Amino acid sequence: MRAISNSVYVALAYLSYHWLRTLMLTFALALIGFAPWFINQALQETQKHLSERATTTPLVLGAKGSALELVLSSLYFDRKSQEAITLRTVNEIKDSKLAYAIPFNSFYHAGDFPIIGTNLDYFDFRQLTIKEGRQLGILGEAVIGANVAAKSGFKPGDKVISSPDNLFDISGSYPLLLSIVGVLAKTGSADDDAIFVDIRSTWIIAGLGHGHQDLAKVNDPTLVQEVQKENLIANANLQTYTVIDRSNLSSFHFHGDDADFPLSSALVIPKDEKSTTLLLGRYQGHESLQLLEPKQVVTGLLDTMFRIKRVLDVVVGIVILSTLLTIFLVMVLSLRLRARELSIMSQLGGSRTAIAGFVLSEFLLIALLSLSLAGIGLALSELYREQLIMQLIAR
Amino acid sequence: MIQVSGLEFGYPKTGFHLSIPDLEVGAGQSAALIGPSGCGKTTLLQLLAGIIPLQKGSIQIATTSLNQLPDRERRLFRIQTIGFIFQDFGLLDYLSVFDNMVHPYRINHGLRLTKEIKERAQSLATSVGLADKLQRFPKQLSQGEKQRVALCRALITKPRLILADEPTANLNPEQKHEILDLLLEDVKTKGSSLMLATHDYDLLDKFNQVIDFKDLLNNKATESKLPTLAHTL
Repeated sequence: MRAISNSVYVALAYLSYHWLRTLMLTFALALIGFAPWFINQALQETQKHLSERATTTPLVLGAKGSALELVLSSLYFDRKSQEAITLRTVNEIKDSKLAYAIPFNSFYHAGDFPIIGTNLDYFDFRQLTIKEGRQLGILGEAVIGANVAAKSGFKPGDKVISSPDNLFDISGSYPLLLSIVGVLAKTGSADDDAIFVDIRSTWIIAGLGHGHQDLAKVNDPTLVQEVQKENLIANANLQTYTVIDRSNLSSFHFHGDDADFPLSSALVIPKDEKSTTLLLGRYQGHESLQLLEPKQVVTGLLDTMFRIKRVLDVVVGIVILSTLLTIFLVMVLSLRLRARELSIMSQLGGSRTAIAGFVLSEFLLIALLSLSLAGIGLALSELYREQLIMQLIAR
Repeated sequence: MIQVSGLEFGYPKTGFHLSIPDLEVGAGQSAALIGPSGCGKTTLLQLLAGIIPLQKGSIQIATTSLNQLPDRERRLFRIQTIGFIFQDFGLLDYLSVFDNMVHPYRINHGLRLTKEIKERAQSLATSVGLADKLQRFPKQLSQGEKQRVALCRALITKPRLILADEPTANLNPEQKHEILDLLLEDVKTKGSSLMLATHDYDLLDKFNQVIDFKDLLNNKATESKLPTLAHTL
């Protein structure tokens, strides 16, 4: 015991005197322990997240194109440019009586958060519950995911404005001031990072519907530019609304046939397995649409991920090996530099075991420090890992 | 204290050979070892301390025959009986003055660092004027101070024999006398023996005995009182 405490005392004195080198060695070793473990955990977590959501979503309908992008944008709100489909396609699914479909519009965003236009079926389907405030009531209202609330500090009663797609696109989407009415309970999924609105609110952002003063009721005749048979044409002075509330709600209206209105995709929930097979068959070879089983798409993605991981494992292995060799070299060189010091101890009458004990204690202390550091790193990463992974999946 | 007879030692590849038929230093005696560089002064000190094993002949330190002891016991004997002082001080730069002084008690499990030893280190430090520098590191000390720390490290085990390998070579004249006086005082008060290799001929008159390597190598092992030797020099 005395011998050990002497060894540790001297080793500690050495390590603290050469603190910078100790620190660098410790960090290098800690990283070696931390990196592979973290990668492994992150992959497992990613796999869990991806497959959980994919298995609970039977089918996704969207425009033909990349299957992966369609699934990622519908399930994880990954903001990729996606061809639009129309509400008509969703109606067709409903009419088939084989499934019901939840429309989905993820074309818009507010700051870093995607705005998801859908209907109340989505909340039931995903079992999303309101933790604070209330559910969507009218156009222009929004409920926000738990992470949106935590990151932005928004709460019911606050307003959030939709971001324009492109600053230079003057004929593009209209910024719409959304009223936040509720905050969703945390789910640990992409829903935590989204702002949900009624699908029709996204069509207002798209410029397909709007609200303005009623020309027949306004007293200012200068607003009327032209009187046609049944129509009054207003000039640019007419006030259009960028916020929807109970006072102007009735003035909001859509132009055109809503069956032509755009969706980014639709979640399709078939009645039974037979319906699934029938629907998949029906859309196979469709010229503009694709109906996908997210589970299959995600399995394909995971296969690729794990193939990459195998390559990564080899790379990480090589890096670890070369780092360990370098550290070994540093240790050997440092022992050589200390040859005089060790020989002095020997000449004074130091025993071989005691002298070896000092060197061994140094190695063990560095190993211990590195392990502790790696442990702290892992504990910290545990706190942020889920968040980090959701960001990796969704962005 | 030191009895050498029929010593033969050589480094095979260099052609260096040391041959000492007979050499004796008594208890309570101080002996200076002089001779040109490379003549084997350090080798002799290391042979006496049992650091390098003897090839032929015998060395007895205080009735213990060193070459008959196994390595482990030789190391224990060395740390208990011999105080070693180096030309370059041999201090460990990462240990404080105090920890350097008590280091012998940490490098061999045969010795135990007790409260009494720590107090002895304190009083030794006081006696050499280092009491206020115990927490400093060697880098923060002057050459003279470093050698005083090395001296305390050599004396802390109360050795019966002090072997010093040119301990004054890196010191200025004032420091040289100071270190030597401290060593000789220990010899005088504690009855220990001192063998000190040196190039400083002006220090020789402080020793009881001067051993000239030239004579040793010429197979004229000499034990001379200084006046005679001074004359031959």
